[in-house]
Amino acid sequence: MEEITISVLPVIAVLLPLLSAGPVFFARGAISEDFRDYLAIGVSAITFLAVMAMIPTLMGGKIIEYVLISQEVTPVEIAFRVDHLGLIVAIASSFVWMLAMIYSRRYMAHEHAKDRYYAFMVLTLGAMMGIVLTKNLFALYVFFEMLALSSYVLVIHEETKEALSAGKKYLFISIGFGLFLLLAILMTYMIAGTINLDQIGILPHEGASKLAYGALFFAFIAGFGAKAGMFPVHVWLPDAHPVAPAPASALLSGVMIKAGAYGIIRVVYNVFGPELVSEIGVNTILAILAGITIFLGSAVAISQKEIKRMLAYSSISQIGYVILGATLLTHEGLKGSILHIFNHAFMKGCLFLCAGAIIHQTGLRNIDDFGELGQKMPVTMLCFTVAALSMIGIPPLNGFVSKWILCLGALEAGNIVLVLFVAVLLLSSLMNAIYYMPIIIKAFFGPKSKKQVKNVDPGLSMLIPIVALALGCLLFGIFANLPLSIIELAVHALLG
Amino acid sequence: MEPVYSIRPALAIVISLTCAGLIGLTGKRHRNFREFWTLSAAVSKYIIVISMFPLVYHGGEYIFSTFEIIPGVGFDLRVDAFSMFFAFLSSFLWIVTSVYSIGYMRSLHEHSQTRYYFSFAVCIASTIGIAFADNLFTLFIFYEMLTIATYPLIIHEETPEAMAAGRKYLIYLLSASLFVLLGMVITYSLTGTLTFSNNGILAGHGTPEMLKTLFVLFIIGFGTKAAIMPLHGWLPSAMVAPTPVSALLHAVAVVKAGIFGLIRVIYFIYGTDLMRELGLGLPLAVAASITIIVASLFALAQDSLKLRLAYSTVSQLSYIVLGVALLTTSAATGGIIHIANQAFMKITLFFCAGAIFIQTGKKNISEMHGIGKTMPLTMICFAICAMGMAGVPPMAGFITKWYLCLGALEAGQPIFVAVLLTSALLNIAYFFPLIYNAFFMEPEKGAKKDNDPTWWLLLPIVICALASIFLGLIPRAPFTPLRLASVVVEQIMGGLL
Repeated sequence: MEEITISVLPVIAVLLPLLSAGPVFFARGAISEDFRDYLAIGVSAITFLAVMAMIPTLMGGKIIEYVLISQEVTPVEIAFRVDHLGLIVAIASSFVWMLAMIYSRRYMAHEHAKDRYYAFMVLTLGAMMGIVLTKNLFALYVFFEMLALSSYVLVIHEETKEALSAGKKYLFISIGFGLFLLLAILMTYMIAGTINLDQIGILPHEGASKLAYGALFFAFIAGFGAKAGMFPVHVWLPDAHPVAPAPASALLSGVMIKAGAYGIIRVVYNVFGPELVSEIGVNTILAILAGITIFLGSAVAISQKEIKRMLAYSSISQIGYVILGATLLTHEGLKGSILHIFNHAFMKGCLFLCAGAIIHQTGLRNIDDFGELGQKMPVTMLCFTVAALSMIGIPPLNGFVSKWILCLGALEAGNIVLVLFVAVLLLSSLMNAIYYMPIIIKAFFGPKSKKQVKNVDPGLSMLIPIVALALGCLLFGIFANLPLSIIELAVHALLG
Repeated sequence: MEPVYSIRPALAIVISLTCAGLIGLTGKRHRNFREFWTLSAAVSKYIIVISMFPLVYHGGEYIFSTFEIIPGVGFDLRVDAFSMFFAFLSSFLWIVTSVYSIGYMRSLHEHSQTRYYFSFAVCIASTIGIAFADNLFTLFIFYEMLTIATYPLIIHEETPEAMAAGRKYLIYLLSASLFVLLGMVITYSLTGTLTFSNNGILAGHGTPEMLKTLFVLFIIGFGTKAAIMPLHGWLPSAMVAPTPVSALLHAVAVVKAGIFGLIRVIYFIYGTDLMRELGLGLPLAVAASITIIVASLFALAQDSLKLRLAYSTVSQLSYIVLGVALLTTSAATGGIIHIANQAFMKITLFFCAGAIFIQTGKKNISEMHGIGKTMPLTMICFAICAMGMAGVPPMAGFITKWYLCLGALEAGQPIFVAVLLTSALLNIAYFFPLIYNAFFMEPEKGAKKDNDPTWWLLLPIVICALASIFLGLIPRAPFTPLRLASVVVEQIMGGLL
């Protein structure tokens, strides 16, 4: 039996950003513009530190819990519970978030409505932390909806026609499929009598017919899958991710879709439990959907010319890996899946921030115009290259490690259909190479672009986050054991 | 628990009536004095109601009895948990609305303000009377009084449009009350009593067919005030009234009086067991579901903000009806708690509509571009409550949705969950464009900056919006409506006295 400690750290990590949204919004009026920026950065840094501070406790094999609003006063308690799965997602999320905040200061300098931007950035951070650190599905749903609404404001930040229509699509899909999620949570509550995420498989085997359980499972998947950008409910993603300002895109694509993936893992392991899932056989269907997601994302990415749009499609494909890993129901598969959540945050965060730097410095968005960018913005393009290579899965970068483990997981599964996914993974790597390599080649060796651009890497406050993320891709490739030590505990808890 | 005999229930009613008299006497010459009566009556009434809260909260009752009208039926008042729920809500919102009314009526330099405050006070007296009525007869008296007293408020503008709306209102509601009267007579002849009882009084009387017909009579009677489709026609037309009237009466007092009557009939005249036995819940739930969806669709088509809110009210009222018609613990809790949740959210929305009208003279949604930039505080409150209506957490509407959906699943009728969720989506569909235009479109040139209204108007808005969040965040804190609703449900479902 796991040991439980009570600590306020998760409360800090969630409530601090949520409650500082107001002060951030009014900080410019009350004090100064600089103060607002530093306040927002400070809040995200403290959040990150609060998450980091939980590592020693969890590495000691304990679980942190804290009841915020007790059962006395709400229908279902709002409580935090930090286990190893939640922790690893929280670490990656809060770290990338902090970097995106630092990056925002220079990137957003000439943008409009910055009060709103920073306020919603911290609000969204709080919602994201809430999703991964809560104890039960009720609280998770509350934060999930909060995330959808607050990130909407980030998506439409530019207020162009394009951004507004993308935002509308995003909002309606999020909320619409969010209702499926609510329905599923209610059904679970009725059948199991609990919606806590603290045990394996809360649904009883004899609770309902196979068909009903199948429907329930896919109601969950519709809700979480829509946020994750899974096929066939991914349609909002390629519109919504690119139109946001670059740091927000980095978070949408690098971090927030993981809220959906995280939810799917919780549903498969905590709500249904591996046994029940394989008994009703829904994991195979989900695996096939994930496979389609991988291929579809990559295939469309190849045809994209606009850099941010291409990255968005690439995210769809990568989230497919995560979901695929979760459906294999094997130790290695789940390990790879969780590790990929962690790794992809670094890779995609870095790529989007690089794309933002290119747009900010040169105004170029079309890949065809990237000729000689490697000479003009060497540091940026070097980091881009590292992250892109990691995406393709080249050792010793972190993308390689997660793909390797995922392949092992698929082989371990033994099932013919699932073994086929090894082929899917390898083929998809090839497709990644097809769309990432031309950019790198063009940037460093390509013909000079016709468009004359002034040529410098961006200032340090934008460069440091980019470099930090690229270094992360490298370091977590070489020292993959750092995240894996936590992930193994998570897998152990979820799969026994 | 022994009921306590006390004059306080009567006092709560008399104080508003006295206030009405004083308002009439003071008149327009001493308008500050006149407003003082309104505010002090509102506050003292609230204090009287509150003073009865603790005992009722713990399952007790207050009784005030006078004379017998017909054998077995007296003009009696009784305060049980459900009475308290409704009275507590109405008397609190009366204070808020009074403050708002003063700001509103003075900003617009409205005519006949004395008549307005007078009728308002009578309306509230009747509402409390309905809440405290011990039997159907007493309830009916106050119910009719409310109908009449609302009329001068609806026709306040005295334009031909307002007069027509008033006529429509009277035709609908006075004919509906004939059904109530008929139902009442039949009930009396069957049972010899009209006093509400936690277990119902009709069980064991009459044939099933008879009881079913009787039920239809009651539904038509009370359902008209509760605006169940197709009996809702008067409500949208009544939106010609000044906004505070629409806010309190058409979001809280009048329509909820219909709902209140309905619940009294369902649980206190028929009783849970008899309702289940006769299978009367399901048809009512279906009618409510149709209303929920159709009214939302109507709301989508409206350009006038108040009309959109009116159809939204029609739709939301049927949430309550649906909840009580499902006859399960969670559903009934969800239905009853929505009386309070919807009240706080909808009153905020109406207050905001009024504030927009005062500050900019605009009534139509299509003209409200950029209004969130010029009236930020007002529109933030509006956005919070509109999202709450759609059931987005952590606002109060989510709690309703949670209990109602649980209740529908408990009843083994997941189809109603689909209805509720569809309706949530429709709510987003009709509120979202407004919020979106308000915050993300440019205001027209020459629009004033920092155009939030005076604190007379703003304070009620902010208080009610905060209450909507509070009721969503910690709904089961001690002494909250949800706790009281649980007491009610325990009494009617558990059959405890």
